[in-house]
Amino acid sequence: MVNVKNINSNSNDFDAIVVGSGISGGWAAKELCEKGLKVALIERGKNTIHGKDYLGEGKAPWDLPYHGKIPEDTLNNEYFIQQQNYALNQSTKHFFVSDKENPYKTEKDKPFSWIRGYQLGGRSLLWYRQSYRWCEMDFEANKIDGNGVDWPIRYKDIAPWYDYVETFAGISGSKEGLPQLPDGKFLPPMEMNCVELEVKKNIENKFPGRKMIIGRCAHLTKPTKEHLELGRGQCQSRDECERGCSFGAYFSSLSATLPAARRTNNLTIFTDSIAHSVEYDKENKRASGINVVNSKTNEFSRLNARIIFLCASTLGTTQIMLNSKSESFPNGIANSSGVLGHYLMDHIFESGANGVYPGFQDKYFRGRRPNGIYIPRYHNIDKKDDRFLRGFGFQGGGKRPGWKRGRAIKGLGVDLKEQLKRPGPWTFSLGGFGEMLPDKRNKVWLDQKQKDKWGIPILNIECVLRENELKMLKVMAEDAKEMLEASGMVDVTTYNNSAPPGLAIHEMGTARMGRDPNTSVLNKHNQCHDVPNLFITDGSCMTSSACQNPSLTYMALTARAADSAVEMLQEGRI
Amino acid sequence: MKISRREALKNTALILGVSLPLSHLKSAMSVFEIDEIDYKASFFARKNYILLTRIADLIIPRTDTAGAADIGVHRFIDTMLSEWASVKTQEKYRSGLNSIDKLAIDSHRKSFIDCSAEEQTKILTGLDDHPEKNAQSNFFSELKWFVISGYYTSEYGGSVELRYDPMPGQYRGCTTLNEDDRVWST
Repeated sequence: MVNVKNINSNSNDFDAIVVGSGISGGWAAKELCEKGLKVALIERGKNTIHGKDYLGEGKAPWDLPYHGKIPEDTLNNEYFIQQQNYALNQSTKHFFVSDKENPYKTEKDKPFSWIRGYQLGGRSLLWYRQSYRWCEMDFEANKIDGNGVDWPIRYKDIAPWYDYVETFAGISGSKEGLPQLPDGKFLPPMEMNCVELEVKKNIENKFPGRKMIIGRCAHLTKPTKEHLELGRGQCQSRDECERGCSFGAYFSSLSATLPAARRTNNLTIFTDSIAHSVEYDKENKRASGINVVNSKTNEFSRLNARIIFLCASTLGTTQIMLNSKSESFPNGIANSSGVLGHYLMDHIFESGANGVYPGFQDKYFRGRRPNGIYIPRYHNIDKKDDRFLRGFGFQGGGKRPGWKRGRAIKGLGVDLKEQLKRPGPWTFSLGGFGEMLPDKRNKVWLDQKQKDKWGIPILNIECVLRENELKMLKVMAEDAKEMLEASGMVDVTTYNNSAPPGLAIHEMGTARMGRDPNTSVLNKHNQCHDVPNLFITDGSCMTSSACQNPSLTYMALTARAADSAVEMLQEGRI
Repeated sequence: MKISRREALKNTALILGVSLPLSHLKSAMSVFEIDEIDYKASFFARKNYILLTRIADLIIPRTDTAGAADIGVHRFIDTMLSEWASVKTQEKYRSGLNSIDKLAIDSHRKSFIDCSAEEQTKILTGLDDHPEKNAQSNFFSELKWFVISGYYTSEYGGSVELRYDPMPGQYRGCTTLNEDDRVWST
């Protein structure tokens, strides 16, 4: 129990509280508001206004301080973890946390890269926007091979919700009829370039069962009436999405879900408001509210509501739950099973190959496509692979590099300058994204001693790649090489970089769904087994990781859970 | 070190050996001349500043378009070293430039800046082609990248030398590359 005062004594009671304004929180706020609930959305970071606060948008390199580079001392002191992410530079740094202000602990030989964005919109501003459905096989995997517990839902339970969120978000893609990557409600696909079309043809001819498709991504290639009404417009092919897009051409909370929630007049947003813990009412056996710390004044307050959605990110949500200790739940709210904090996963990546394509020297491209190609999973589908369980997909694409290849080429003077004036030969890259098995030893827990500047115990994170993951990473690089060589590439080189877990920024698990309250935190409605008015719909709910980028699944699970929650509320069951 | 006026003018003549039809080059005066008059570096001592300017000019020289020194890449690097770089990086650039000068003194018994253009090019090419990595060749490849990235992320390099398209509108995957088409800069 925390002693608090109310944020505003006249209006601290809401129908629902949503914690976090990223992809999941934005969806929860939209759905609950549209169903008529008065919603308080709590965001720990600063307010961010769509368009106005996209400080780096549209700036040429020469218009940015130091041509876009962050001073070395700032990188080393403030962004010693965040700097591992490709998107951090002068045009985006306001969307990344200071590692110094937001510490967590790992063992020296077990690094975990926790990449975070604390602002209204969260990491929905920074995500890479790849949007793939899971399939039947993904929801059955745990049950079949015995790793983790069985998902309490199947593809048919989520399929209509994929339809629903895709239509609203706007997902560009091609229909392919693949069982391992179900088609969705797509806007027109983006174009492949000449080399990609050639590689696609070669891979599909030479490797039966493998397909190369254009990436499916949350971009408006052709906005619908629904998108236009929210003020969103068509993608301009600038490929600087992580700076923010005032066209609203890619899906983010700021471009899409929050405007939709706001127009209901049911939404109240509290920024600079850190959820410290969930308050539990043991008489009614319900969560009664959220204890909030003002990030600027360190003052405590409480918001109360009938239902609560935690969407504070995988590790953020679990940290709040672990910190919500009461007589009823001494080890964290809704943790009677003891699994809260366990079964952390990320996707394994940074293994693949690059090659050079000798042809098409008279072909080029125009515009910067904010998307690549995708090779859906092909291992362990019809035939069991003896080397590892489950599988991986590839992302990548072809391009003609520009002046940046100057880093690797020899020469000086007129020759160098004339060379760099023209595009280099076509290159092609394939990088795997693979499934990580749920393992109880991969976990987070609260530190006994160290607290952050707001008095919240910091997280310890321990997450290690194990045998299955390491074998898969090896095969990823071998397969990528084999496919590039079979496609006519030369100078093919492989890489397997041992990227620390977390860096794929697909962290999942730690408050998993399941059928049995003794071995899982959430039921099939993303509702806590122990606390019926508490719902968790961000990545922490995931029971397994599949190999597809997970955000679209968070959207669908959130919309589905909001629907169930409101139905239960209306029926008086919660 | 004081640069000899005569050597500076000799180098100037070499730089200006190429005709300059471009109106965007504000002045036909040599970068050396300008810096002799207008030395305002924040980080580099005068000697290394002039050395840096000369090296930048050798990496991306003036052709029918402006070179790195023409558009002030040396000033950009000086600002970066002064404001952007860590103490460690600053020290690396100080000693790195000194070591290039020492190469010239060891092989030609004169400062890099007093060497002929051929001698200077030979020294840098030796570092650029160095078969085994050593401290000097590693430093040179970093410096070379600094000059290249400074040049092509500048407004001139990014939008005059190369093509800049801030708002493509749409992506076309298969266009024809004509003989005189320059590469996109971003």
